[in-house]
Amino acid sequence: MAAKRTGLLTEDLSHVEFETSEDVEVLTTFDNMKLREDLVRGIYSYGFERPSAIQQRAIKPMIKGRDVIAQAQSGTGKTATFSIAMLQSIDTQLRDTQVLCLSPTRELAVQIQKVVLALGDYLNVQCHACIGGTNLGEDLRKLDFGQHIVSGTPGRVFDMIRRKALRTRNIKTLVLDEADEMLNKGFKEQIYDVYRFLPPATQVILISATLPHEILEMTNKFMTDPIRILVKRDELTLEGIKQFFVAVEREEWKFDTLCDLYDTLTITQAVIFCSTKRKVDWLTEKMRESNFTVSSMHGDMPQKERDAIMKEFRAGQTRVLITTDIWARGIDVQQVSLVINYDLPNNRELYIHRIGRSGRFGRKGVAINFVKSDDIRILRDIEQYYSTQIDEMPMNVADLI
Amino acid sequence: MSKSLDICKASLVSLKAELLRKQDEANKAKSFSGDTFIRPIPGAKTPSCLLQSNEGVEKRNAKDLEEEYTPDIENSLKKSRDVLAMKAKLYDKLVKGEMVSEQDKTFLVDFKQKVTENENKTAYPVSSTKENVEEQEKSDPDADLDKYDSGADDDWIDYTDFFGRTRRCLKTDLEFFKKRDQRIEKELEPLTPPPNEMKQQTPITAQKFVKEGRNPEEMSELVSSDMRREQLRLKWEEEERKLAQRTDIHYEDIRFDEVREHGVGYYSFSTDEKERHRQQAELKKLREQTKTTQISVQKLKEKRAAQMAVRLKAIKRRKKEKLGLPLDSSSDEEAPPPKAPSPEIVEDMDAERAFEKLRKAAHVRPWDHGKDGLQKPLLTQEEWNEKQRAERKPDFAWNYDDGVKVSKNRSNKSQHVDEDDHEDGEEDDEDMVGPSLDMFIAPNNPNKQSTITSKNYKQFIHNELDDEPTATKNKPSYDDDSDDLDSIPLPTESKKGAEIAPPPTYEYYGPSGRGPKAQDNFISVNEMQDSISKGFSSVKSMNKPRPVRGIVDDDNDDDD
Repeated sequence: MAAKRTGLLTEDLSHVEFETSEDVEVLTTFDNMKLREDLVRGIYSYGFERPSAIQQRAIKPMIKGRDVIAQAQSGTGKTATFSIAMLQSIDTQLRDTQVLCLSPTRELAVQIQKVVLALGDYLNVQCHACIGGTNLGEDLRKLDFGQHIVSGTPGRVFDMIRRKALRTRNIKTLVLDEADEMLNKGFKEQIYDVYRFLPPATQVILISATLPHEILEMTNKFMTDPIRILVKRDELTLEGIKQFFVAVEREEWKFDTLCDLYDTLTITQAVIFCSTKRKVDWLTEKMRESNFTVSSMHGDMPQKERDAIMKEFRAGQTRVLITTDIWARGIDVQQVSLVINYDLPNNRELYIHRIGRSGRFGRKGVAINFVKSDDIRILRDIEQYYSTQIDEMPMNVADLI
Repeated sequence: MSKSLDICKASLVSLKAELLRKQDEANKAKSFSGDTFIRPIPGAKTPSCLLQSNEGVEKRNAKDLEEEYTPDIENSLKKSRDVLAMKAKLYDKLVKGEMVSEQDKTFLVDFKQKVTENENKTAYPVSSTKENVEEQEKSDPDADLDKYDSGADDDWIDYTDFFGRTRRCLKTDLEFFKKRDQRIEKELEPLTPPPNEMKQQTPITAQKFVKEGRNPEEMSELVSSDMRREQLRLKWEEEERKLAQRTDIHYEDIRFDEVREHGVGYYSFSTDEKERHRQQAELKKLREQTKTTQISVQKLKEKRAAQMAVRLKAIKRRKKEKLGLPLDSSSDEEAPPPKAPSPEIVEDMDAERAFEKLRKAAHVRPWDHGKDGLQKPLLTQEEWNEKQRAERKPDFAWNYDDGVKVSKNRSNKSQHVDEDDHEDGEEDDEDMVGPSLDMFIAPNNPNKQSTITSKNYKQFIHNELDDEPTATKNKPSYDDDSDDLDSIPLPTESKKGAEIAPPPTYEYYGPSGRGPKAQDNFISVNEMQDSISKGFSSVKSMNKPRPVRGIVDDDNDDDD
């Protein structure tokens, strides 16, 4: 019966246009939200003064226990949104996992842990990052101590649940950060596996800057009457991030262009995206040969190395990072003001996420796309799809950073 | 002759200049054996009228230049240095016994005795041996510059040392200092720090400088960025190792030197758990203090305002009395301050959360099917219906394949809607409750129908379920079923309406998420029976064999 129904459901929903729920309340200050005093302290000390649009709308229903699908532009405080709501609704006296947050990359899971701990500093909340590539025994021990919130990647989390190290009995909320990625083919099965261990009717929160239609269609399989806060795609690019392209005739010229731009890159911090891990290695090697200081990161590196590179970049010890789409989603480094797409991304969503590494929380940013003549068509498609503007790079690009 | 003289004037000048230069060179050669980096004190003035200038001009000029290039701090340092030099001179004189005789009482030190004591020894190091000078150079290289100013000019010479400083020493000591400079040069060669490093160093002695250059902090600035990163990595690893053993981890523990702007209120707690607790307690104390002071200030203000009001009132009254006006009886008493609404809101939130829970429990998500904690009673109305129908024996079940109806539903949906115009607005809630109620209350008893599907009830369903887009979106999935249901209770098709008769008991409405409805609109047993009997009578009168059979079966099951 259920199968029949869902079958029908997908058929029907493909023609439905999803819109933001009508009765979403807007609370324009944190004080209006009736949050715990110690939580408000954490919020202000982290640097938030006024809630962003998404925070104004999504925090309340999340606290109420509603299922929420929240979409907002990159760098507008989505992570903080659900972190605040979760910190408000957990019971700090109960030292057991009450919130489970899943993210597509280990770096992102660690970052979420950091945000949760920062916002919950005055609540003395315990949050553990349960990610692959780390010591299993340490994970087991940490979970045994009791964590209020667990932020992790699906594989390791599922492992911990199966080992009964991560007790799911008290889990009230499941958060899927970068939800569209998490519900994509690669991850969906793993999410389902984890979901099956959670108590029925667990509150589910989906968060992402991009939520394609097919993802919204499937949400009723694990959500009950969710509140939707969506952004139309023509409003998805931020005004603060200026987008440019540099047309090159041949692939080799991209490298020369990059070398020319190096001085601009190092004004603050920059991220360069390549299409493959191998290309990341190649470009890093070539840059170093030419005596440019760069660091690089991709998924084939050992976790320890990835971790160290992240820390160095966050500490400002390295200024230019060459990487793959592993870095495309969610990673927040305030000082990054320039993103270079050495290769164009494989889909429109990734473009939004990549350029969103710059221009964090109201800061200015610049994105530069290197395009060969046949890539220009793709770029124009992206430009049209998001109704944004991607101009040819001006000479004074450094002034915009 | 005069003409030739005119021409020669220029050459005469140049000749004179040349002569002067030679004389100068000769002078240099005489006094300093040709070392280029040592310059003589401008000694006996050359007799030339052209170069002759007023006495002390050059000195002043030099001083001006010096002042121009040295910042104020150095000036003040020089001042204090001069004062110290003066003091030293005075002390020397005293020690020598030059000034002691008359003013014995002005000095606490018995200089007379000192003079006698020192007579045998070499007195305070005025006459500088090599060692002495070196010592002084070490301890305070600049102070001694002026100290010996008074000495005969001929014995002293200025020289530039290795660090580019202008020094003055006795001619006899020059060799020694030159050697020392060479030694320093050799020692520094392997290190060769960048020039800005040297500037940062305070000019103490060369040896000291070399030593300081090797302390770890200085080193960290000198090493390459790669080395620094390596050091940082080691530091972070160490931090992580420590973290692994701890139970409680806080934000400060995992910052790892991240560059991040925080809010103004950001307080960097200690990474030590005890210290952290202490800091938090202190902050709390401070907050409470602030609060109590705020309250007391507020109270004081209020008190003052009240006093002022009383006084004003008294003045008013007096004025009025004076004028002979009638006294105003209206006393403007202060309204009590509004209570803080927080407890209510908290309750409200709790209630809402509880309600959400119930609502969620009422709906089974496809991914939740088969989970342990799932409770059977927590089914939605439709699901309950479905379940019951599935369990029903096919012989007695509603004939879903009944040709007319199915075809109608499948093919002419729009037509179907047209037919049911009157209940378009609330199709869906109708099909949840509708069937039975309409049935039992029967078309001939419209009053009761209205009581049952009361406004309250409808609103409840509406607000919480149907107004929200998802609810309506969920609906299409049940389209087939709901269409079936829709068609059943239609009052217009009263005959068919009797075809199913789910019992209006608790079981039917169930302790599902829609609990309130059952309570709010609970139909008394009498009413029920009443309506049932009416239903029966109407059914009998209609005399339709097939549906009756169905009804009787069902009813018998539940009622008997």
